[in-house]
Amino acid sequence: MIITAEHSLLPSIPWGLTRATAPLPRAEASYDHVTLDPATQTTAFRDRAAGIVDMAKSKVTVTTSKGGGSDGSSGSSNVADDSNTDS
Amino acid sequence: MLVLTSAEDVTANLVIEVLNERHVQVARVDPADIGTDLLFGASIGDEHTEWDGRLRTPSRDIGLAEVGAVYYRRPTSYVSRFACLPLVEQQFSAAEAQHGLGGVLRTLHGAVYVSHPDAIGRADYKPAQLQTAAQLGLAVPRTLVTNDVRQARTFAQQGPVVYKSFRGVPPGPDGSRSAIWTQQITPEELDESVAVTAHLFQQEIPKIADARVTVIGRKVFAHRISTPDGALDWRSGDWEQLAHDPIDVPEPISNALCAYLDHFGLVFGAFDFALEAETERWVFVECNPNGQWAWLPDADAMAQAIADLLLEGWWS
Repeated sequence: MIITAEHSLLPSIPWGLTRATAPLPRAEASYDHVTLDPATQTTAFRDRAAGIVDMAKSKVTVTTSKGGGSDGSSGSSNVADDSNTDS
Repeated sequence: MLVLTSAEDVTANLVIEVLNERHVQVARVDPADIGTDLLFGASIGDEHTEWDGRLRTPSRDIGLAEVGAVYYRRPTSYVSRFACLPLVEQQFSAAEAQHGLGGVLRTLHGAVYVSHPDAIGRADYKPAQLQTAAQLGLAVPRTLVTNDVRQARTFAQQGPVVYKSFRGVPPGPDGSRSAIWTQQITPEELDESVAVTAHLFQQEIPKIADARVTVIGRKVFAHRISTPDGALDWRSGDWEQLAHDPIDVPEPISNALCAYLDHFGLVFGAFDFALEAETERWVFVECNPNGQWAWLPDADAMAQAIADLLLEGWWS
């Protein structure tokens, strides 16, 4: 393949990225760690003292901020867990 | 019953609770835990024509041939599992895990998948979504996918246009996150850097509200979503301020959505529509083939519907 001079003059920042917000404020983590109940296989969100954190109001943000968001395949990352245009 | 997802996935907990109530033996597995906490062996050959073997987590020992259903939610990516390794080791380990463990887990003979990861993968592409929706008779916004700035400018000159990214912004090296909300653009804002990669431009639909329609099997759950400030992209504001009101889905649209799922081999879809101002016409925006639903008012009924699907024709 011949690399042309014109090709090498392309801007390096894609236009779409210039439309991104400034880094979003980091939401203070509402939990410290997650534990799996071996009997039920549900997970519980806990604070530093191992107390249960009620995640009722965080049913989306937890997975956009701390995990998930991908199908495990190498080509499908960078996705907010639930999204409109970001998925 | 296998539930493939990360520990942080709140949504899966709702379904697992329902499965426990129905006395189903559930194994929650995050394939990215592969290592001493997740050991597996699967074999085929001789008289065996299907993969069999065992998958062991600290709390479960699962016979692969006995798995009747798989709830495929949000496993952690293998790449992030191996992020601590040097690049070559990371990419090798991730690809081998993906094709070895991932390959077995997507090939469990006779298992029901909600939904199968291959179907989710096919349905994840916006160009496929828009074309399928259009062919099924749904209204779709005029859309241009291009890296040609001249075509983009011409498109933007024809009326209010928004830009959307396909996949969002990856996290920065320090873990910081930015977002690209759906936003209006003008032809003057475009420049040669459009050529660097693919961009999606879409006619802006003047809307009075959005609708989220979650289809699970043949059950349809629908809400009209209104923002207090009429935001173009409801995700950009405070989700707790969103108003969710039940809404009836016109029958031709719900029929098209079922056909849409069938087209991709999905059994779940989270569809977003814009409700056009004045006409209240339903305009298809996208379908997230594995979208979240735990934040919606009908979450408990949806968890039951997913459990129904997983147990359809099978009981453990």
